[in-house]
Amino acid sequence: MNADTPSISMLGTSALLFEAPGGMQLLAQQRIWALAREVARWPGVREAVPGVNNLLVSLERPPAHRGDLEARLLAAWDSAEALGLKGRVVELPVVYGGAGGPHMADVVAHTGLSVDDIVERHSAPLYIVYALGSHPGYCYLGGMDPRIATPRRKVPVLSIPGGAVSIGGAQTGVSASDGPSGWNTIGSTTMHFFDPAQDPPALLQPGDSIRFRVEKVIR
Amino acid sequence: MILATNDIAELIEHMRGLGVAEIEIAGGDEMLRVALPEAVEQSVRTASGPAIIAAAACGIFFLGHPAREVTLSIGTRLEAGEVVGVIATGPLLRPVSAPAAGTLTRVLCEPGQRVDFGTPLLAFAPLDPPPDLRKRKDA
Amino acid sequence: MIEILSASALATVQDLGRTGALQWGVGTSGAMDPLALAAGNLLLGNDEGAAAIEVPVFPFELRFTEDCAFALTGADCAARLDGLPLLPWWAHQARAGQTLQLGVPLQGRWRASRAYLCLPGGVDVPQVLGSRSTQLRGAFGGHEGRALRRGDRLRAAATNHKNSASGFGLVPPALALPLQVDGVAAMRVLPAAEYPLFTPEAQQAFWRDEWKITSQSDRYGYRLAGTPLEAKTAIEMRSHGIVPGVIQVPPSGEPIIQLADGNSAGGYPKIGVVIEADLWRIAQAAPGNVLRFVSCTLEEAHAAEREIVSYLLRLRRLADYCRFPVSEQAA
Repeated sequence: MNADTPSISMLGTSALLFEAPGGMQLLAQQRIWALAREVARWPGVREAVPGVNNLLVSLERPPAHRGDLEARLLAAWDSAEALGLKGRVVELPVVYGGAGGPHMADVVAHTGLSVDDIVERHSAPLYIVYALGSHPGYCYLGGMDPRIATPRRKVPVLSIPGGAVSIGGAQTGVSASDGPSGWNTIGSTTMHFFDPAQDPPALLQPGDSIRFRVEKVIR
Repeated sequence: MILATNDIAELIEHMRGLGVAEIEIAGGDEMLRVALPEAVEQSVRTASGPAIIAAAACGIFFLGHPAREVTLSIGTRLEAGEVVGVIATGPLLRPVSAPAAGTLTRVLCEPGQRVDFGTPLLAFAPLDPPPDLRKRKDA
Repeated sequence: MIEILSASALATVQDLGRTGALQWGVGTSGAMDPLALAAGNLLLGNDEGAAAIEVPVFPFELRFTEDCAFALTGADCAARLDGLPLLPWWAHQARAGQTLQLGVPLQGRWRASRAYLCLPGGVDVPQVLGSRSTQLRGAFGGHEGRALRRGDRLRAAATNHKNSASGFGLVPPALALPLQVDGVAAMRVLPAAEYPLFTPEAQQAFWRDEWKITSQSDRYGYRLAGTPLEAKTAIEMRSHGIVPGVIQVPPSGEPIIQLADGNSAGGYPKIGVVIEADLWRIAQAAPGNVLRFVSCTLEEAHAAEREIVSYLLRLRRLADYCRFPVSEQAA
């Protein structure tokens, strides 16, 4: 992936992945939100799903003219204006470390920082929900301090619990339910993220914000 | 050839399903005509003894089931209505069933062979011999 | 009108999956072998995508509390109805009180991994977010959002379930649409965006190896063991949407095929995507067995999808004739 230009790749026969250039910028994400709204209206598009500075375009059937579709995507990106979504702010109490943060030691080892430094830097920002994905209600958050970035695990863990607060590369997020994950879990919180009886069923949306409040630090 | 042999068997299924007795297809300098028999006997009793289980469909005959490695053997005791094989027409499998309780005495058609309406498949000895034979015995 | 008798068999109600909910992190779920599900439904005259019961662990037992037609597809598990052997991939008729037992899938050339039980009209459970598939992770959909337990009772959605035709079957896809390489079940794969970032040795190993399906394999995904696949440099990606069939390669080098219940987004590099038309083959490859990957083009992938549509269409027409013979139709 070239850092300066967007890239588009097929994901199987009926989905395209559009990746925005540059680092993990809020501005790029706001343009991805705008792009998603535009593309979702195109005929033959089943869903346009924002990821972290990228967009998955899921089609009803394999595209007849892939080249045309890609050209149209690039043009839509060029003219996409940042969509300044502003939602609500949710505060989550987090118990850092201990049994709920089994990979805190790995983050310490990778970053060279102390547990307290990591906790301080992780809980400082007001995070913006960039996208939902992975499992029902899960939010990918933007705005994490790059100094605590830690690569995804060599072997993904078969199951980490709902409420797990984790770091994957330069990203952070909170698991909404038990399940497999390749991220480094540094703490745990409680929150209901998904209710299929509600409309929309996810309780947080792109543009909402999360602040982590330090409930306790177990060293 | 207008139609491949496999496709003819499927065509016959469509004809049966739609109630079409006869069809003619012309293509170039070829013509294909398919006429279905009025009635199809699934089993035939011979004067000398065992019944013969005949094909009631067009397609490929399999003893047992094509996706099963274990098949029936001579001497197998069968219940009335028990499925002893199948005839494959395209993706569809129709059963070949024992007409009565009895024993499998001979395999008359090589499994994997294409069969037509009435092709003898299996020789079968019913538990109860046919009425006319019983009469002759009593005489 | 069925009552589950087995304690824990990880059986779930599935249809062809839940679409349109990726924006909330809800993946498709649905039958791992959509072809077996569709075929079983067509045998009963149901809509292709009617909900059915997916059985991945055996033995599995249930009782019919009313007369009911049913179809069994997927793995041939030496099924018996009140002890009488049943043919696989077949439409059957049960009487009230009869017990259906699915045994361990038969060994041999056609050994498969999971079976499907279809009922007339489909299994009657509510739709959630547009689908009757079970979302295990989110605990919703299907039957109460969970695997079936002893004592669970399920109904067929069709009101005239007693009188559906039975007594015919179909040629299973494993025979009708075979795909093997060197005697090993094969899956066609389209290279993914990060394919060029893997070493030449890794790329060769990917196509050459007989990948072993480890026991850490389930509806979320299949973890494979073989030559560790190395990338030229460490790859750390931003999280992006993925689909079932995506083959991720974590830094350990051991590929994971994301499947029906897999995460709907991820950030591990992707070496390839198993084509949608071959996902059923993965579903029927059992842990402990091996599989091979075969390269294919987009055109070949499209052709494979058309081949499946054609197989199901032929099946629907022929099965409909069996269910409505001309001799019994009103004049």
